[in-house]
Amino acid sequence: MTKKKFTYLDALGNITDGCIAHCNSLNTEELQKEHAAIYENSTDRIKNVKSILKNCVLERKKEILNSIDSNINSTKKSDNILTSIRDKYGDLRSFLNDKILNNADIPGELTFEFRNKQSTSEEEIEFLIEDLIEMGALNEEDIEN
Amino acid sequence: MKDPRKALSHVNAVEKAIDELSLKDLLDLDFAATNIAGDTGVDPDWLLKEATKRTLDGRRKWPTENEISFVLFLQGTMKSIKHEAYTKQIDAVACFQEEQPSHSPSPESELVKAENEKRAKKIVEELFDHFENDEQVTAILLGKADGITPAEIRRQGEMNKSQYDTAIKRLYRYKNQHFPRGGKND
Repeated sequence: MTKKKFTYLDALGNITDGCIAHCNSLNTEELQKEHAAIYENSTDRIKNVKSILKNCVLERKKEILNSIDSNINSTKKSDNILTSIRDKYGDLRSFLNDKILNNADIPGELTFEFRNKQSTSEEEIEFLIEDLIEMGALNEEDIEN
Repeated sequence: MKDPRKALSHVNAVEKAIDELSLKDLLDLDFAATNIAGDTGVDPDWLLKEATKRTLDGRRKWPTENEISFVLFLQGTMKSIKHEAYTKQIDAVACFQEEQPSHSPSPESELVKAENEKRAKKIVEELFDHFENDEQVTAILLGKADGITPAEIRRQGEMNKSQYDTAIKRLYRYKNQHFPRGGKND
């Protein structure tokens, strides 16, 4: 086993860890006193910490809501396409046979499972169509033509 | 975290932990952010923000149901990010001091590491110089440099707990006052 090479960064890290561990062990009053002794603007710094944490939460929530919006739009798009298919072909199975399994533009590996299946449920076809829409292998023009 | 409902539920759990932080927790976080950031000269606000962002988006997994406090978890995450910052290993998850034999550092990361090592050397040497007549702080510095435990440092330096606590207080007050916040955002 080789011994880890000593570095000043490690030493400094250990010193810092020791200081942090000590401060973690202080009670609120002692820590407030230490904080005020080290930093001039102790109260502002505490407000700043809380504000950083809260802003991060807000930003993350915005990101998630944007992602939900984009999922809703994508679901609406696939719902519209499924409705169009049912209107034009009567059911999804006919569309699968006519326009997907015989479509040379759709990569064979995506539909391989369905070619060899004895029976396929409507729901499985729905998932396949949604996947093809999501991958961009199928769009509204394919249904019209 | 791809499922937005799961992601939102996780964010709500973290938000609850943030809302429940006491004054002591906030002081602990500020003290840790400033000290950890100071070691490499990164900005403490950036460090705290980055650690919180990674916790919120799940890149750092805070097991909300177990006993790791949110404050200790964020402190650990900040240490880990500091390690990345001084080696320029983006998104490495190794803990501070952990060796990563499978990772081949780029010439740039070696350069950054060398610069940070130079900076750390200057700080550590200045600490030793300043406290050369203070046997107790010197014992702490030597012990920390060797990576030994506080109990062992107390034994070797013949200090009781109160003497150790007072000595470490002298050390971090000086360190924080003379090597304050960094200004580098990596």
